[in-house]
Parts: sequence; structure tokens; C-alpha cells
Amino acid sequence: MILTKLTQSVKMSAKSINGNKGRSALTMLGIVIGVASVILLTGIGGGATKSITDSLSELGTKLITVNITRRATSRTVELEDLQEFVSENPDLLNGVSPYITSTAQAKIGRTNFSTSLDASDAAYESIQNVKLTSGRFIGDSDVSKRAYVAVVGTYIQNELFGGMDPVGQTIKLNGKQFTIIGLYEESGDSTENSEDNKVTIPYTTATRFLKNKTISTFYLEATTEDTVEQAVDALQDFMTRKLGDDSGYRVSSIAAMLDTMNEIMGMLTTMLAGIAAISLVVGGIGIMNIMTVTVSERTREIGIRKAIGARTTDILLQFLIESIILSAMGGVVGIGVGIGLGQVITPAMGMEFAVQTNMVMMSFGFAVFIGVFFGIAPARKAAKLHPIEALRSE
Amino acid sequence: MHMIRLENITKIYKMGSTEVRALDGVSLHIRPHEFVAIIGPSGSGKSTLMNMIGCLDVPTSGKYWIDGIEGSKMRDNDLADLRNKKLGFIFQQYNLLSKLTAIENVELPLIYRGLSAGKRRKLAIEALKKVGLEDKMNHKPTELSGGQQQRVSVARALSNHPSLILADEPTGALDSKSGIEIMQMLHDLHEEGNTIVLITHDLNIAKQAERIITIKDGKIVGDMDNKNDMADAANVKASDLNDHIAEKTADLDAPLDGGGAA
Repeated sequence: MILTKLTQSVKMSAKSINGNKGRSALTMLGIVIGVASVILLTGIGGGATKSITDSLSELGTKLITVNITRRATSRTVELEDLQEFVSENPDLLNGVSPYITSTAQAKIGRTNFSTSLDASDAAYESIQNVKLTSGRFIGDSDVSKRAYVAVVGTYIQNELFGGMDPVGQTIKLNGKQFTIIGLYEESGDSTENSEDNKVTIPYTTATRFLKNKTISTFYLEATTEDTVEQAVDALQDFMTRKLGDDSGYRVSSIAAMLDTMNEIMGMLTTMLAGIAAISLVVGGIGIMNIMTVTVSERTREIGIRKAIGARTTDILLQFLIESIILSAMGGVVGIGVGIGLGQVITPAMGMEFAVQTNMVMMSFGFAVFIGVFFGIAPARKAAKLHPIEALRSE
Repeated sequence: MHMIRLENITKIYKMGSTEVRALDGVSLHIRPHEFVAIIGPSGSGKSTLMNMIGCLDVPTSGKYWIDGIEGSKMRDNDLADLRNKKLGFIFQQYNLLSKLTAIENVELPLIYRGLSAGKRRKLAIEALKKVGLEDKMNHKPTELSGGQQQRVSVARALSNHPSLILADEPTGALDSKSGIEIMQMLHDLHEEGNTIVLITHDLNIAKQAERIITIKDGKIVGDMDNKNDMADAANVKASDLNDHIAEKTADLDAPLDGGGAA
């Protein structure tokens, strides 16, 4: 029996909404705009977050960086200390490698130019996901022998070797002769100022001829993405113990950066959703107004229905369902508009659009709630009408 | 067993600081299968009386029973049920829902009764057949003439098989030909055994009932057996009507107003 009445109410509401298409559309407008804004803005925000996290992830989410920022005291942390620490914590860390960066003059024959010089060890290869197209990376024996070997980038391949495979050839760096043992995969555009203009040598070799012999940067690799946080904490304890205080170093991880970013984006999204929620409330007020007018206009009809036997609940349900249908339809249209607009606008802006499903559900749910909340007052008014007075009205 | 029983019904409306006694100690019994007309001038309380009988309102004091059920102290929802099951309304303004087709209008009381779609359809078609409008069942009120709309209204009043048919000025908005049709329909329904209460200010119409109750200033001032004089609307001539009015109103304090011509 309830199903019959419910179906009837839905049918009646549909007829009523259909009969007044213009007015129904205007009523829904507030909801449509509110929901569309939520979907659109959170989608753009989500897309931006995704772009950034994707790029960051490529760098390696297990990567931890330790920077020693002050060397004022006599206490230091050396590579050996960290290597010991790593071997004592195999469940947290996989490896550590030192990192020195500088510049050098590269020269073959008469061609010479400035190039970026890194120095590290064999562990660097896996910690930094090194990609080579030819030859090999620095090995443990190169490090222990302080060998004059180098891995070069594609800019050097093009500039000094005419694009041919340079492995096995020699190159002069700061006047010293090095043998090329490997070629990096192109990662930039192979121009002079790009990442492809670099050479990498063993750090033991570098400390020989570079002025600054202290290593201030170390890269460590956590065992998994999930152990990063623990590893960072352990490292911080270790560094504080070794250096005596906690101000002379910094431990950072991409994972931490990602977390911060997600936090920020989360806050932004909440703010955006809050603003859009306000417009949904305005839309709800619109629904309330229209439903009140509708009730006034249909006072006679309500009187007739009551005379024939409609109970208070029947009338209440009828008008409540009407406002719920209006707001639900507004929600659906709003979702469609939001997604449609998002997919059209973002490519033009060169950005990604990532629809946030939870936002879709929440804004639809909120729209329906608005329909109920703002529809109740007019519906109750209708239900409480006295049949006699209602019948008399025009 | 009475179909309608009113005992000492009083209805007082407060208009600002003044009190209006729309009904003042009205007692009334109507038996099953009776065809009663209630007549009175505007302001006499006949509408209020109709509201009582129609369970659309509750009295300030007094009691009433419809087909044995006491409605005087009922709450709104129970009154609605009572109306739905026991009464069939016919209004002066037809009061059909303009967005619904004829058959949907006729089905309306059945929806509130909670009947299934199949049952509703069957009963509605039956009722429309009775008023001869089966072929117009999918028409909207705007596509029907006044007389046809009123006939749909009659079908609606019948579809739920009520105990009592209440007609409030049923011919008031119709031309004479349609008015005659409707009254003939009421006669037919009466002959089939229905109890009919008709409210009117038109003596011509009232004369067609078998019992005429006259109300004035909230009190019943006349209750006449009209069985022998029961006239066909079509057979009442203008001159007879004037005589009749003069004769009957001699009993009353003031003349009736708004008496319609045949």
C-alpha cells in the first residue's frame, strides 16, 4: 500500500515538474551550480595534485635525503657511519650513497665547455634509479681504486663524440684524463643547460681534486614506501646522537613532501567544498520559495485531495517528494555539468582533471538533503491545510 | 439504523472578537436510501451543516455519526479515512484535478484507499460506465464540457462505493440541459438504493428530493416530506415554481434568495 502511494506521489511530482518546466529549471539552478562547482573545482584540484604526485613519485618514493648543514663542531657523520647504521637497520633501509655536486671543464681536443659534475658510489645506481643506455655505472672497485672513470650524459655524447657511443673513449675533466664507462639515458632535451649535460665520477676520485673534501649530502633508500617514516625517525635519532644536537642536519623524504602536499590539497578541497556548499544552501532556499508558491497555487487541489480522503501524511509526502526530486535532478545535472566542463576546460589550460568520486557522492547526498530540509516546511504547510478553507480558495 | 445522525450540533466561529454561531443546536436523522435536500439562503449554515455531514469539520459541541461511526471527536487522519470510505462528494465547481485524466481523477479516492492498480482501474471504469463517459476516460478536464466534468465528478464520488453521496450545489455551475442530466443521474442513483444528501439554495432542485430540510440562521426551521410532490426537473414549469415558492415560504420568516428559474 505504501508502495502504491509512493509511486503515485512520484508520478504526480513528475507531472507537476514537467508541467512547469521553466520554473522547475530555475528552481534547480541553484543546486546545479552548487554541485557543478564542487565537482569542477575539486576535480581540478585533484588533477593538479595527481600531476604533482605522479612527477614526485617518478623520483622515487622510497628516497630519503640527509643534508649536513653545519660543520661548526668537530663531530661529524661520515659515510661509514651511515653505512653502519644501514646495516644495523636492514628492515628500514636498503642502502646509502654519498653525493657531491660541482662543475668541471670537459675537454676533448680543442672543444671544451663547462659541465655539471656529480660524484657518488655504486649504491647510487639503485637508490636513484639510474638509467643507462650503454656501458655500466660506477662500481665498488672504481670507488676503492679511486679510478678515473666517468658516466656521461647525452649532451656530451653529441658535443664531443658526434652522437656516437662514447663508452671506452677518454675525456679530460679539469685537466685530468677519465675513461668513459657508461652513457646516461636522455632525460631532458640534451642541450647545454639541460640535465643531460653532466658527468658522474666516483666520490673517492672527486675528493682528490675538488677543493671541498667533506660530503654534506647522502641519499638513502628505505625498504618500502611504508617504512620511510620510520626510517626517517630512526635517522633523525641517529644524527642527533652523532652530532650532539638536532640542528646541524636535515632529513627529508619525498614521501614526506607528498604527505604535506596531500594535506594542503585536502585543506584546499575542503575549503572549496565549503564554499560550494554555501551555494547549495542558497539553492535550497530557492527550492523552499518555489515549493511555498506551489503549495499556495495548489491549495484547492490539496483541499480536494483531503476531501476525498488524503491524510496529512499523504499530502506531506507528495510535496516533500516533489522537492526531493527537484533537488536530486539538480544534483544529477550538476554532476554532469561539472564533469563536462572539467573535461573541456582542463586540456585547454594544460592541466589534468581528476573527478573525485567521494565529492560526487557527497554533493549528490547533500543536494538531496537540501531538498528534504528546505522542502519540509512548505510540505507541512500544505499538509496542515484545512480542507474546507482549501476548497474555498481560488 | 440511521445513515446520518446529528445530535445537538453547535459550531461557533471566532471572527476576531465576535462569535458566529454557524450551527446552533442542530439535530438531524437521515435514514439509508433517503434522498434529502437541504435548502437555505446564504449564511443560513447549510455549508457548515454540509461540512459536518461530510466529516470535513468537527463541531464545537454535539455529536454526529455517519453510518454508525462517530466522527465528532475524530482526529484529522481518521476523519480522512472516514471520508474516503463512507462518502462520495460532488461539488459545485466539479473540483477535478486539471493535470489528471478523467480516469485518473476517478481513481483518486481509490489511491488513498490503498487499492492496487488493477483493482483501481476496474472500479474506475465501472464508475465511468455508469455516468456514460467510459469513452472519454483518457481526456483531461479541459477537454470536457461542464456537464461532462460534473459527470466525471459523479463517477469519482461513486468509485469507492460510498454509503452516502453528498452533493453541494451540483448544478450551480451548469447550463440547464446539463443540470437536468445531472439531476436525472442523481435520481437514477437514488433508485439504485444510494443515500443522497443535496445542498442547494434552489427550490427547483430541492423539490426533486423526497425530503426537504430548511435551514436558517443555523437552525433547522423546516423538515418536509416531499415524496408525493417529488418532481422531475424537466417537468417543473415557471408558473408552478412561483406558486410553489409562495406556498412553502409562507411558513418561513423571510423569503429565500437566489431561487433559480427552471
